[in-house]
Amino acid sequence: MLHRRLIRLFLTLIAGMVSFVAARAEDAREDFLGELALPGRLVFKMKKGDDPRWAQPDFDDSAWDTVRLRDMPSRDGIYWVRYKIKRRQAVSPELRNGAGDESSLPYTGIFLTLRLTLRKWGAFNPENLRDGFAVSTVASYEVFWDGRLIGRNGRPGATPAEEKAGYLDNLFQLPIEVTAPGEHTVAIRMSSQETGFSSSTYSLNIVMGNFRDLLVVRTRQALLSVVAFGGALVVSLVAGLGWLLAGRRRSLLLLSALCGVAAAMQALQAWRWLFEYPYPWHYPRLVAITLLVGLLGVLLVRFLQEAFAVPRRGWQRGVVVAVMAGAWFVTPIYNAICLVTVSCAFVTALGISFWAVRNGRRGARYVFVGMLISLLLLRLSPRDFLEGTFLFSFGIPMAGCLVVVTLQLNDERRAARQAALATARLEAELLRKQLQPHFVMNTLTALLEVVEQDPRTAVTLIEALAEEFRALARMSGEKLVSLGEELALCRTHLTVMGLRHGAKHVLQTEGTHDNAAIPPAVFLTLLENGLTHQRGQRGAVENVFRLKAEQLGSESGVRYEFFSPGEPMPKKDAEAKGAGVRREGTGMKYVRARLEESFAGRWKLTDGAVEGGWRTVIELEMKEAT
Amino acid sequence: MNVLIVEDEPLVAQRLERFVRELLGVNAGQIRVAEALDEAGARLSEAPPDLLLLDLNLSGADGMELLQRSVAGAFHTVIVSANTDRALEAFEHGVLDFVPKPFTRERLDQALKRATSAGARADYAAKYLAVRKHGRVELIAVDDVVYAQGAGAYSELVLADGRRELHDKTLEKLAAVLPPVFERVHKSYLVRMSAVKALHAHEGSAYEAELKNGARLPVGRTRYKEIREKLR
Repeated sequence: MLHRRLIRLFLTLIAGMVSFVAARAEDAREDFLGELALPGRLVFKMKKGDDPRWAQPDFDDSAWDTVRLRDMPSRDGIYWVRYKIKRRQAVSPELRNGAGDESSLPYTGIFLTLRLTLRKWGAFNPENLRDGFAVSTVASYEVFWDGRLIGRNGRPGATPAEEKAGYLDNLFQLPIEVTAPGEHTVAIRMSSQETGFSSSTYSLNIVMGNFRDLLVVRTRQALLSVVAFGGALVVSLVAGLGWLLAGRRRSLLLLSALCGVAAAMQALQAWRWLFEYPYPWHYPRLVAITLLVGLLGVLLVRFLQEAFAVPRRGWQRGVVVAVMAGAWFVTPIYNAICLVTVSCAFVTALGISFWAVRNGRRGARYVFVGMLISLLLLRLSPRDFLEGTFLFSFGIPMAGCLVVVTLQLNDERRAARQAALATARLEAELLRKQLQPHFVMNTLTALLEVVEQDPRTAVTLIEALAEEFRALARMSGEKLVSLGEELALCRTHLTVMGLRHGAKHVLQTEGTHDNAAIPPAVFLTLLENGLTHQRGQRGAVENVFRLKAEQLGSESGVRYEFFSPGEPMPKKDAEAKGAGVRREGTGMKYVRARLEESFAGRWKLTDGAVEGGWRTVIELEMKEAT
Repeated sequence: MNVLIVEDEPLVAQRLERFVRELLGVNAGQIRVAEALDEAGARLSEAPPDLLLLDLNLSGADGMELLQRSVAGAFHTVIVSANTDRALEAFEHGVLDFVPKPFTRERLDQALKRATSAGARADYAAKYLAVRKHGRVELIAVDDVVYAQGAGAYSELVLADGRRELHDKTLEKLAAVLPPVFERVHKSYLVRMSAVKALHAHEGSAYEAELKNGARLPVGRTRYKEIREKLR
């Protein structure tokens, strides 16, 4: 039931996400192609130096160098950039086919998002006045429109000391009179002394549109990041609490760290649009984001390794880190580094979850499918994934991780319940064992005889029997009892059986510690088996059972060797005898179940015939495994 | 009466032996004790007892096998056991009695009387008879048996499909465990009454029972009247 509901929810969410992302990606491609297909690109001129006359529309800049907007020089004093645009009309036609709109410029990924949001979020209306001038760049500048200063960002300086850094993003409103149709000259006086990036060039990004629309879009830009931040933060806190309160499981700690890092990263993303920052912060911010993305990838891999108990983790992590580090050297574009990092992490996660599915790990299917979809989303929208689609492309793996942790917690709960039931069953079994007709009725029959023939012995027999029942009642509720108690019970039992058989049974011990902990009735069962299966006890002067204990190695391990004397009886006659019939009958099953209950995976039992009898060896590790 | 006691608990064996001697009195023949049936095997064939007192725990398949071997013998089997769960099953295989432990003298006496009195029957009739064949023991359903013919120390079981099987018990012992529908019509014949079609009287006090399958079996003179009454 749980699974079907989960699957349905998963599918619905995924369908929604994929269509959203695909739509945005579709737009991105279209627009970009549309841009490239523009006839007649704008011409940009640049000149290093500084002269206020260069702002004038009638200044002759034909001698100036032609540049591309992505090749602005960094840390190179003050320089001017000029271009002319023709406006056929005050309002712009559809941006889609770009007809008549010469101010469409090539964009970087982030700016593309801005345009997309313009379109998709309905803020854009082709009828609106195009009086907005948005600039995003790592520079300080002054913008002149037809010689008139329309906006300023910081103060350009010929030397680093002279420049005053401006903000990364700016939006200026053009006075209405300058938006008339005709040719216009845009001149920008700029400098970038604190570019931060090691590269000698940076890009200047300009978008024109309706001022109000651009403003609205800017304020909405951070929306998805803030949502992702909130969600990741909540999950991180919850997982962290879960780790603290539910037994310090490492997978929960990793999940908490993972979501915490995701939240931090999204906070950094959202910061740009929510709180503006001076452009020198851009480079460190990008580096920080890239590092966080790398950390995110590593944590994701680490989490899956932990949750699915994957072997040979070290080299997997090593490979991932190496590829991620390699990306830093391959490309200077931080978006690309992030893309490689995330792709590497996702592919590794995909591989791990595939292995986990093959090896029957709980919840691995969901993670595998989730990673497939995340990779698909990444592929569909490689430019947008850090901001808008991050919520989805990382949200899906997060959901998968949550599912895995939940399922594992559920499994543990069920296992704990089973264990409790098993313990109760063993307790009942122990009580039942000794109240079995075979033991009780035969003892009573023997007692009848002894009462009539030898009353004093009868008294001893009755007292021994009472002591045995008392000890069993005391011990049956425990998972572990002291060896001293167990040996006392064994000796009492031997007394009873000795009186019944008319033989003398003795239990010798060597190297045993009375306060060692063992499960109840383990040696008693071995003793019973010995009495049942061995011959040579009738009429023998003395039957000696031996229990030897020794330390195992350097750990707190112990080795018990139990010897019961006598030649083994033919199986058929042993079968006819009594309870705890075969060697591997209910008696030995009880012993193994009790050992597993208290020493899960840390015990070993072997037995076999030796000269003169039967030997059983039990090895235990007392320490709690970490 | 020779009795073999198979019991591995010395005190219990001691008790059984004492009781048997006391209860049988002058009729007590050889009373022997063995710890297991296998051990007694040799003695069983040398000098078979009239009665076997067997301590049997019917848990597991081997317990059942042991039971079947016992009831295939020429002697009556009385189970003396601590485990009463499968007592009914034991009866269905043809034991004469089932004495639970711990037992009183009186209860054992009851069992012994069943073994010694003529005409005494088990509390529950057998559903299967165990026959020894090719060293193994095979179970014959009592429902398939039409009649049994005495053959010295053995009995020949005649089945509905015409097969004949040899059983080690005498007719007298068989009669004790078979259901009451079987009547001893003759010294040498034990017949299922529901298979009898008619009784015939011939000259010279020769009486016959005609079976539904056509066979004709002699009926003892002394028994004729009784049988005729029962048929009506």
